[in-house]
Amino acid sequence: MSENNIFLKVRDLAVEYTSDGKVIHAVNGVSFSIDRGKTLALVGETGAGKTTIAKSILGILPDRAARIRKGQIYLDGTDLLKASENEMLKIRGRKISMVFQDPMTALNPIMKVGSQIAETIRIHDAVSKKEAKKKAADMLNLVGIPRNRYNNYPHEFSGGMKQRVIIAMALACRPELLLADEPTTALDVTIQAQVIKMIKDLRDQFNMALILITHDLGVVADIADDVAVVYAGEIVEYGSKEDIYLHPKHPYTKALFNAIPNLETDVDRLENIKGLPPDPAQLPEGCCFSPRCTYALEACTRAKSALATVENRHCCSCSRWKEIDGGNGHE
Amino acid sequence: MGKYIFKRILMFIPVVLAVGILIFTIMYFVPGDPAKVVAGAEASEEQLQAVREQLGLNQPYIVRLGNFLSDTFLHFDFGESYITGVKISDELMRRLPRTLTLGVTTWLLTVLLGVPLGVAAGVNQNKFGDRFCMFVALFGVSMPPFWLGLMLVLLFSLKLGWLPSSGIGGPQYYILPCIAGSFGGMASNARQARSAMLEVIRSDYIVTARAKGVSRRKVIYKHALPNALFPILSTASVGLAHVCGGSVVIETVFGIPGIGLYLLTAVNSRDYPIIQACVIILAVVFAVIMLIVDILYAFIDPKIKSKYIGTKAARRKADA
Repeated sequence: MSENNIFLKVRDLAVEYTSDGKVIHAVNGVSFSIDRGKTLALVGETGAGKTTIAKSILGILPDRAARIRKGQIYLDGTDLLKASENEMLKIRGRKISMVFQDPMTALNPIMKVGSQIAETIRIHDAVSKKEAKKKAADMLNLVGIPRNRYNNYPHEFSGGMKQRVIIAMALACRPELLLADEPTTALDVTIQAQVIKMIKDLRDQFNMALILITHDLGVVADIADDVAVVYAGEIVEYGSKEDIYLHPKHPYTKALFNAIPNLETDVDRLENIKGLPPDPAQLPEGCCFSPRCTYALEACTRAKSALATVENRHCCSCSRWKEIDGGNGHE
Repeated sequence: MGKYIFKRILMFIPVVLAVGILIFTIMYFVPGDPAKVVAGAEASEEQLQAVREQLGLNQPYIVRLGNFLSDTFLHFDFGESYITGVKISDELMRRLPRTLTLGVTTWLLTVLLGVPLGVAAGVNQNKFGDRFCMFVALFGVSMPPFWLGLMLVLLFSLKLGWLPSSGIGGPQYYILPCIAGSFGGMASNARQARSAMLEVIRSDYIVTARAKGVSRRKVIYKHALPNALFPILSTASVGLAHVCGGSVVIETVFGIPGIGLYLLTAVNSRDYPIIQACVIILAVVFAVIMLIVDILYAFIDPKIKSKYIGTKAARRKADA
């Protein structure tokens, strides 16, 4: 596939926040791409910079605190980071939409849910108020909420229903790319399955590209095509779902999978990864994972190694993956 | 909704009644003899006795309280001034409009200038405009209104001769008092509006609105401001109560014959019925303001609204 056909391409993106005079390196040189109708999962611990990546794509980072240091984000060949605010207004909610992590606080508490959906439609489509209202009611219906709840306020909805409203709002203008930021984290398990299924169905129905941010590896297995493992603002391993799940190479990815309980063996304590993610204000000089890595050598703490190809599109940033794996690619 | 408003109005009654009992009791226990005020310091014991008899001052506390309450709340009669003998309710009717004009104008100034200033400061956090507004606001909350009033008189009346320094007459007489009285309230409204805006702008639903493609202006005026109104409204309403109470100071400085000055003169001359009447009137004004604010809250906050809107009305709405 040639460069121009790729729907979304993020190249070498770096974002930093300034707070109390300290510079926080939230995202450090992230590159990935995604095609229409495909799903990319960004997986990683809290604070790894996943949400910042999504907000950068949409251009809704906090004005003053955040700064995009370098990189390009191409959507259909145009660089979003060079687009003016007016151009971005037409893209947000229209070409790219976002579903947020916490449905409890993501809706305006003093606006009717229907009006909040209709607002998106009115901004992007040249339709009358009445038509927008009808379309918004259709969207509610699409996500499984009766049309007559149009005039309700967010506090009259449960968490799962609010998340449905947010999804309806995000999809109201048929976006080409949906950024779903931990859409199920705040919901209970039974509702989680429903919401994920709904997102999946709607993705197929609208042929959307989907970037799913999550730390739920089960959800990823269910829905993703590609997976990017994010650690301390960097992608440490990238590949198809099969690459990552069946042949994880990076010690961090391996450790993540080890932390999932195995149904066949009985253990008292689940495996965990020792230590904490590094302070993004003071990242280590070498490999960011080296302080917690059981395979780390002295060389790892001194120099970073770039993403290197394992096989096809599967790449990994660990300099020692071959040794650790016994020299095998995909065995 | 009607039920809610009716309930709030019912709650109004005990509040005003309690204020009446409290102020009467305080005045009863205040040292000093009203009879001496009426008859003069040189009056003989017989004269004093006659005055007490005439005013009913020799009756027990509970009887006098009963008379006072029934006169005030059933007949709307506050009695006469001990000193001038003028009927208090007539005097109040003459003075109340002046105090209300002054109070409401002052309050409108505090809101119409303070809130936009604060919102602008909050939206442009840490920029020059914000710093400047907050500096002025700090000045405003620290400056006592009587001092500011005197300074304004010095500048605009004595030095420049643009505006009258005291008394009442045309609208120009209200300009200086309103400015002096509004500065503090304006400053506190601005500070409240700024912090409310800052808090709301950080909320998740503002990010949601931006993600929908809502323009910056609309995000601020359609999504952020209505949500920031709750804390602003409560500060502003306290501010209205404040300027009504503060009328005592401003009316004294500018010699405006309103309720405040009436009250102050009465306190100085121990004219008890006037004190009672003024306090009750100010309390009623206070209570009415709070009532209006509560009803306004119910209108802008759907959470309160849905609690009180009848289920019938809600169902009718859902069917529509």
